[in-house]
Amino acid sequence: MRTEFVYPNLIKFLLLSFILVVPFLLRFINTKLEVYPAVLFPSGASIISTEDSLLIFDKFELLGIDSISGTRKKLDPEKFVHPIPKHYWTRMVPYRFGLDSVQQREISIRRLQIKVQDSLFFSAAQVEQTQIWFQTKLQEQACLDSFFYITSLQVFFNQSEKKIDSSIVVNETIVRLY
Amino acid sequence: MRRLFDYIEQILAGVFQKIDSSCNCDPSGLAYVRILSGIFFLAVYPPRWQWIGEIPDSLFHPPILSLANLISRFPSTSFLFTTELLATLSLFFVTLGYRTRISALLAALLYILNLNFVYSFGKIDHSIMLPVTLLCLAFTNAGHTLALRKDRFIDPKIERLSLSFFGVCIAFGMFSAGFAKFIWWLDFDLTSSGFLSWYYPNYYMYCKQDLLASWIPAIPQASIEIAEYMVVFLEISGMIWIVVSERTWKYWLFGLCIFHLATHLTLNIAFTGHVIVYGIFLLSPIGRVKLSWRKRTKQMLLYVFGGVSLGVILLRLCEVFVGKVLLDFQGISIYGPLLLWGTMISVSFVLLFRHQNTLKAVK
Repeated sequence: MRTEFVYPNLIKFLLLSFILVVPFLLRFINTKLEVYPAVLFPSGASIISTEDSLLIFDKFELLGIDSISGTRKKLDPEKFVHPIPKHYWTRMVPYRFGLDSVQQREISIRRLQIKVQDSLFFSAAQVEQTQIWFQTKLQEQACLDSFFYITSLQVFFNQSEKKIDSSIVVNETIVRLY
Repeated sequence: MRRLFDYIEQILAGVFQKIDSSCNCDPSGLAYVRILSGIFFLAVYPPRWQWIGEIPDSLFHPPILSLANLISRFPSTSFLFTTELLATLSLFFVTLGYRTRISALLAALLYILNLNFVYSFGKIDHSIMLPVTLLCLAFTNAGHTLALRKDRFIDPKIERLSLSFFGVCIAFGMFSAGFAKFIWWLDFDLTSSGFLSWYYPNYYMYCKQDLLASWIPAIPQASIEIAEYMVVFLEISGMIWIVVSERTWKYWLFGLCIFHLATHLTLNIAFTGHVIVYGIFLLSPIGRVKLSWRKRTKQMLLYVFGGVSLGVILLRLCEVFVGKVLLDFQGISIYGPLLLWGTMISVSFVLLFRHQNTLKAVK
């Protein structure tokens, strides 16, 4: 029996939809479901209220202890994670900069009440390699190399005066390297 | 049921035909764009992946739905060196027009592969259109003219299909960026703002205070709100303009260039890679433009361009063997992307509006 390709444009459309629309829908459901490679551009659709005099923004900071004065000082994130591009450093906070041998990844879709967990396993030697790597980074910034702090802040922005009023520490984690 | 499928097939045939005609590019112009693409990649977005080999393995967090998730660690330094060298040479060959098709395909695949590892720190960046640009060029006759070793001429149907697919990718990509904004920003409510949710943290927390960023507080909220609606409309409407006509499609791309320039001026966010993405369509008419410059002026420009290109290629090859960044064009200055977008807008304006009569006559 001879078959003919009767609907080539419909096939083309379905193929195109599969390549383009499916990854888009997955990202729309949960950003952690974003497929790579996929033709997707960054969205950035957050909004703020222009009526509130005080706006709150979240921010992370890295702190170390100065090896000479013994006081806390801010670390330069760009140097701390170099040669990793600096805009990735805040994404490394949830998995504690790779300093755990078991690292959890979780995807939850609230509407469907689905939660999927996945774990990444690393050997003690691999974690030790990371510890040594960050020790070197701390030494380069003249800080004690045994630990550093990951600080989560809330920054209060005064919208009428167009300046940062203050910031408070919401959470602080000590990350020990040895 | 069959009648329904026939009807849908007929509509889709019409739509695809419109897209084909909108994404039509001059073949000789594509050759110029190919040369520009090669230099652009080598100068602005060179393949730089060897640094990944220095990163400890426990920092390896690939996207869950990606091929990198199938392996358990970063690739070895020798693999990264080899792929970086192959990609650099491929881009060099794309520029010269030596086995362009294979070179562009190889460079695209290597970019897609290694970007997966670059995105294994908990975030996917969105520079997918750069390798897609190379993929598109691989399936055109861009390597058939102005080339050291000309590619075999392929069926123009394949070229049109490649360009149409590329055009649809650009339109859909922008739609994917604009859809969430369409839901959240189009609220007709002056008491909320999407643009300011970007501007305030960028300016006051991350100190992106260059160019026109300091002018924003002086702009009335109503104007910012209107600009937000225009951005939303611009981002989601590409899928419409690509079907209307070639002219509206190119006007839309021109509008995107102005949008990216405005984003860089106000938020200091450049999206420089998209210069060459839109350039495939906006710059290809350059092949039909007859410049009445003296032969000597053209020769001089050719030597200057050739010299700069050779310098860039040699610099990148040195970087591959040394394993370090010697010169980062993107990081040099905030004015680099400004120059690129400004040049793109100026040249596109001339080609779209001043030379359109010449182009009509040639067609």
